[in-house]
Amino acid sequence: MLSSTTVWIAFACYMIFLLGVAFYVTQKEKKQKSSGSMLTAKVSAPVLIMTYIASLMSTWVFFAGPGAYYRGGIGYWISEMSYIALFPIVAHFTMNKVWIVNRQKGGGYETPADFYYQRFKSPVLTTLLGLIFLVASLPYVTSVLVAIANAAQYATDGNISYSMAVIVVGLIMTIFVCVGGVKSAAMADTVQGLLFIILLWVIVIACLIVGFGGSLPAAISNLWEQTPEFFSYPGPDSWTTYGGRFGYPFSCAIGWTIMLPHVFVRSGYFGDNLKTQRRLSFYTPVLQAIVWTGCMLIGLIGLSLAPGLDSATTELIIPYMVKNFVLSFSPALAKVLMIGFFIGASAVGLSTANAFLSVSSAIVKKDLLEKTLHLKVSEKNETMVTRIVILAIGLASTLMAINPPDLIFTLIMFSIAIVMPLFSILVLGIYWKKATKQAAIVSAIVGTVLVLMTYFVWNIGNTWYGAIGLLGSTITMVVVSLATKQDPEDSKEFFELLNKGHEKYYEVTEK
Amino acid sequence: MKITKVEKIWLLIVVVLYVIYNIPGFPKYGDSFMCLVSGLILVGGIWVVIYIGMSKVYKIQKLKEEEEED
Repeated sequence: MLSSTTVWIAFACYMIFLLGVAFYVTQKEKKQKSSGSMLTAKVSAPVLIMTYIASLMSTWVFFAGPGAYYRGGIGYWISEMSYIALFPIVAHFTMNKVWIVNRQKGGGYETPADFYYQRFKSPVLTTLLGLIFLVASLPYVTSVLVAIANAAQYATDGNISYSMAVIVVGLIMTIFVCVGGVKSAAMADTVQGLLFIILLWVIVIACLIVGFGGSLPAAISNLWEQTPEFFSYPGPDSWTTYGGRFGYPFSCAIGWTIMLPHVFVRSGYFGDNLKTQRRLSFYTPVLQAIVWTGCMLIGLIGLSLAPGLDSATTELIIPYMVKNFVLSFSPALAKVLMIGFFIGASAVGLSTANAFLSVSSAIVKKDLLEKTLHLKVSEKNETMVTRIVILAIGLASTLMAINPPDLIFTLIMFSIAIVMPLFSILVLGIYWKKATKQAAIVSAIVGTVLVLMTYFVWNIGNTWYGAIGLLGSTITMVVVSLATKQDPEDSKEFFELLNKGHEKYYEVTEK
Repeated sequence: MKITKVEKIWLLIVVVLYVIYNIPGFPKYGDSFMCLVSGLILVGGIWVVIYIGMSKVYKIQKLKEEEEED
């Protein structure tokens, strides 16, 4: 539908915008004579909220999401709303405590393992966590490249080959993160985040106008007649079973919004103060609900207009509708929407990939090179080492993306599942003084093994994701903690930081 | 670091609603009406409790002014 030239020009314009943001952030820091690590940030509420939302949106919003609603129905949307609401309470009991400890310690934490180390003082645990978080990062970055390459191939009717798009986008993404670092990624998210939320709804309204004269009741009525399964469990493709209704949102509540390393550092380290943290908790569910409902409506309209599509095609439901319905209505509008879809998918996808690359480079540099292999990186060489690591991970993801699995959704959810078991270590580490490092180590291993078995032995990964792993890691954490002992001196500083932080930042007036 | 009574109640109510929402077998497969009604009541209820609880907890755990100057 689009020429390859059009797509590459659009992409180039977007990259110029990103480079402009990176340049602006770099210049601003030079003027303020502040730099610090390129892997840390201290951002205000609007920037934090938008970078966090952009990290969540990822390629989900333009790809996996609408397709998932097409297959899962309204029950799937209801289940998503059930987990989206949980962010404030989960953040209150976990990530705000993480924030306090990091801030009390000087604000220098770069990786999730930094926080765990403060609590458990275990280099072995740091290594394990580093490896697990890294394993989660690679499929996620790969999923972004897969989605963007699919978008480019579909939008140009194959004039841009999938492999070519993977390679070009992969290289550009890697270079951008090497140059700009995490602060410029956060700033870019602020500017583009709202823009692409609006674009999503423009697509919703355009498809509604084209398909049903702008009438949502007409679309719903048509769907009710034609595919009534959309409006009940388990949904049109039996996706939202009772198990899936729990397993999937629960995994998202823990894995997607908290434990994936790029959202962990954003929700736990990046806020400039606790007021910002609270604003993040307040606004995130609302914004997420707006975006995810837009995705649901696209899936609803798509199913109403074009029932019976196979799973792989449903992940491309937006360009499918543009090509098969909007094009005959208005070729100009179709072109605009297709370019918007491609840029939107690229933008939010690259934003997430950037976030992952940045934190992954910190994990390799700090958790693995420095703390595991004891390779000291001098301050002079720190930026260079970080860039080399970003390059290596970016290239690895690009290579993986050349021959990926069928569904982008599968890659994303596996990443989420694999980090879920680490949540019990986080919670028990914060609230239970008797939790030991031995338990944390065993728990991380048991949880990971159970997730791998869920996927590759029991073959129930697409229903239960990381839930069984989390259950196993929780039980292990409790049992092994009761059976082992750790010197209380190891965690003394952690609880002092937490308690002093509470006294410093909060005025508790419980009646 | 003590968990206040309000925090405990907040957490408990949310967990209870979440568990009820996820009771297997309810609503029955194919029952559109109960799918939508249960979603509205239970998931809608979760949203309401989350935001009301959040405001109550934040009132009890006020942020100190010097933190804002930070």
